[in-house]
Amino acid sequence: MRIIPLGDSAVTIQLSSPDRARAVAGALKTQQLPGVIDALAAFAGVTVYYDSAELKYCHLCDWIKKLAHAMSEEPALEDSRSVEIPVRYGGDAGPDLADVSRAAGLSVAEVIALHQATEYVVLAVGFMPGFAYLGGLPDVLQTPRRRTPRTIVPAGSVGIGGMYTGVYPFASPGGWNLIGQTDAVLFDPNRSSAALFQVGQRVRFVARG
Amino acid sequence: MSIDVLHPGAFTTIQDLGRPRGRSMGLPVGGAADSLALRVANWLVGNDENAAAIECRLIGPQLRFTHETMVAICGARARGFPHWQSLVGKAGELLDLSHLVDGVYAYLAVAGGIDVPAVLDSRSTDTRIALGGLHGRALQKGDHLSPSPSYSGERAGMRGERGAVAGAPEASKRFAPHPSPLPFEYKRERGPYRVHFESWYGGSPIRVIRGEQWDEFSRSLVDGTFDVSSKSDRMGVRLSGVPLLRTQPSELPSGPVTPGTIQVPPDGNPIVLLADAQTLGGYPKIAHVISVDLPRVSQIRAGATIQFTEVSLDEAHDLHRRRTKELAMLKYAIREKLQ
Repeated sequence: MRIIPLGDSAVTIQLSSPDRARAVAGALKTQQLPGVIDALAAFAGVTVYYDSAELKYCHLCDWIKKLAHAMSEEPALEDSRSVEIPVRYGGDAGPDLADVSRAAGLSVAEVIALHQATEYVVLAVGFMPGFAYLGGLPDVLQTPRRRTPRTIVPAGSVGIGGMYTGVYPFASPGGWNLIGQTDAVLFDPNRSSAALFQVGQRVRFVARG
Repeated sequence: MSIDVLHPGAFTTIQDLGRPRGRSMGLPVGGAADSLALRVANWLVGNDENAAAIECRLIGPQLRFTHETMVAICGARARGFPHWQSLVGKAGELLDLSHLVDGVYAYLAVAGGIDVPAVLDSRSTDTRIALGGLHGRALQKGDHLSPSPSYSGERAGMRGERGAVAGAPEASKRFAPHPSPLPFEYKRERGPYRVHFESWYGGSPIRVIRGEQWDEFSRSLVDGTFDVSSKSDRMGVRLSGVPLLRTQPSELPSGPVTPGTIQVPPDGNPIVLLADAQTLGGYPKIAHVISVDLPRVSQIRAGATIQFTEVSLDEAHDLHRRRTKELAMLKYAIREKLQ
């Protein structure tokens, strides 16, 4: 189990699955070991942010390894409900839907149906606050990022980038293929859970209007 | 009590030490680009180190204080003002921070801290998503700020003799050094913390730990020099020089990055990430600036040339521990003198 330093104040450890990474990060945050500032699960890795003046590096590494070993079993899903994201597919809301369907060799209707048929899992949250990389996109829908990214992608845009699908929480530059729009609020600092998506969460898209 | 913004400066924002636990939401830590200067500025006015202060970038604001107040300016130097010192200004005084030298970021701490609502446990401003600070944006002409209501003019150090420096008619000279002697000898042009200053911001190569993709480039990061680009900002210091080209063509998956991480995009020009950097990145990570050298990196101006040198993880940890002790002693000494 390799622990890779990310500078002198963080380390990353790769685990066998995103669910296991989520469990290890969660345990680190709950245990609140003095000197551990934060733990971030992203894809199948956990990055631990620490203060070397409070916690000896070797102790940190031992602790992480012990936890990772203790969680060698796939943890049970805490909450198997999916969060549903309503989407208006195509038209002005999805300017790249035709490109995606062409690349997939499917009709637009088939792409829309297939995008909704899958239950996705949040693998990582980053790039922007509330932006989730959703795993589980069917192979046929996987489409490379656009050669020329857009300078502005509207907030709420639902897109496909490589093997991931996701939603842009804010207007920003972006290179993903836009297939629809949602009014769901992905990030609200006044909400008790500011980010709608958390690592490990299951997600479904549902066509609306 | 109001702090009136007569001129906003180039990019002036309210910052504290940021949001250290928002990464799971994709929130950058943010906060002061030079956290060391912010912390000391706060201590010098009797604040907790995480109090909200005014971060000035390249061209600072012009402010008028309606009441007598205690301030400190740390980081880049504002021409006309002593820095790394407690200062007392009279009611109605103009504080002109428009000429900043010897750095990029200057921190103006005010006794009591700046009173803006805390959002997600911090008063720092993230302008990208309009979060926190003063309405999520940089200061504008006509804004009014105030210190926190708990501030009282009777705070430590406001007793006894105070007032303008004799002789000088310019408004800037009316912000007089705090009368009680501070723990280190005052040196002309340098402020009282000269001893620390040289080791904190001195001119030797910037120390890095190797990153995951350290071996994957045609040239080593430590060979040669880099120029700092004027396109640098709170997200990162952009460097240019002989491009660092990757020997491996494979695209990398996105992974966590942190302030201090040196990313190399396909054009070969490295970026040293700073406070507002995204939490995940897909570019190769060639190295990471060690934490004790991050304040210095944040303060390097466009047009300057820098060099890197590699150190071991143990050495970096050792330096961080020593810096932590040094700062704890400094904090204690300042507090003692302000009583």
